[in-house]
Amino acid sequence: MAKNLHKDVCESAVFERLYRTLSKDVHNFLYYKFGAVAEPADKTQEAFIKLWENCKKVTPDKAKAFLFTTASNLMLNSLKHKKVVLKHQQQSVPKHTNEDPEFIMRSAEYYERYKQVLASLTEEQRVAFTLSKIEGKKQAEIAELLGVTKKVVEYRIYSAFAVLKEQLENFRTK
Amino acid sequence: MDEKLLHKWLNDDLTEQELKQVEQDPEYGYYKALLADAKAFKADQFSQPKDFEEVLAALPKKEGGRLQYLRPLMRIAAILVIALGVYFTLFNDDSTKVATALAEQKTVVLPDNSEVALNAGSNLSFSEDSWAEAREVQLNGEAYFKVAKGQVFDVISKQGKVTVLGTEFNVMDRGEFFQVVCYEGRVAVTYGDAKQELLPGDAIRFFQGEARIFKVNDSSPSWIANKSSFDAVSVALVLDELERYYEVDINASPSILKRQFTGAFTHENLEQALKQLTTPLQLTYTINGTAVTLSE
Repeated sequence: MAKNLHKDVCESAVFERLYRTLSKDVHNFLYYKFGAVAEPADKTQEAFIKLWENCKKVTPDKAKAFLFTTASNLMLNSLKHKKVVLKHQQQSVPKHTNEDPEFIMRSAEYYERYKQVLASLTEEQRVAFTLSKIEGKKQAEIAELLGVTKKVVEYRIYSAFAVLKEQLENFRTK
Repeated sequence: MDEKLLHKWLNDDLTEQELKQVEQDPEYGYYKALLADAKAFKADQFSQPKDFEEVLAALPKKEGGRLQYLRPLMRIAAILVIALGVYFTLFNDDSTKVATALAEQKTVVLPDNSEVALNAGSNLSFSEDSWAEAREVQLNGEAYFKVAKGQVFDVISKQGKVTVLGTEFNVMDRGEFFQVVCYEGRVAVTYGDAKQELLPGDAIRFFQGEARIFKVNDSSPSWIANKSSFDAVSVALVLDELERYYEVDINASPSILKRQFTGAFTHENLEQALKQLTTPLQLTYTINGTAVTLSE
């Protein structure tokens, strides 16, 4: 286990390894939580700079928690009460196999509505749902990232989906 | 769809049976499509974290940077020091070893001028470096010690430990036989939990775990004078001892091996030694090359 080798994260090799393994998680977390307008890449960089400045106080195994908390706080300061905006891309929707009947009328209107529903979820529901169903992270890992229990994550995913299926019912093919 | 099943399905918690049930559900196709469509919002199509190089350039510079390039060197130096330390502790055993072959005796002078006469087929080891802190020798076999006065002197053998100040004594640790004879001064013998002090002329013997204390009249062990003497020990042990001085294989029936022998044999002549052994026991012997057979 590498974590015990270094007492802090001041060494550039340790810092680089942290950036390469964690920056994507921090960034995606910010994106799903606050939306695209909040410039998650900039805020991720800022959080890492804060980590670098505080490197003597942070052990490598605490770095992850430090980054998530810091990134989240930085974001909250800069965009209180701004509306969450996610983006979407129709082309990248996975194609269903040919035998699959179409269950949904996938119109532009539908994606617009989907986006609104996602934005209308609570931050907690949205983060748990998107990390699990879009990023494919395990419930246990999400629980660790967010500092809650796995049961809580499971409930958030479930309740997010309950909203989605209800709100998008109109686009369902009969 | 049943709410519980939906909850389990969303969290990949379904049993195979439940999964089949869910797949039959009329809602299932809609749910699956909804989840699949969520991927249209995947973050990395719109925004990605910056390259590390870009972040690196934005990092504030730290003070004391001049030392930075020395750190890998210091790390290498530290590893070398540790490696050498481990090497010298574990592999560079500084102990001195002396061993005797069959029918060979040696005299060893220890760093404090104590003398050890090592009997045949025995070995002795001690550490010259730590001699000043602890006078300690490891013995396997039999040896006669003339210990110079000074700190505590320990003889550690397989079966027991003998602690002395300045004195003369003999330690014999052969198989299940452990015997200490004190000729001068005072020695303390530890065997398992048992501890016994011996004064000049005292001897203690443990054989197969049983202790016996007895007296000796000699001023040094008989083997120093090229003979081996025994006081009520089993023939098996005597024959073992005999085989240490002569290149022979001695065969005897179990009933003979169990008998007891008191007496001595010489180290200088096999036939004579065999006579010394067999006469008091009323046995006969035959020699065939290196094979000797004892019979009643």
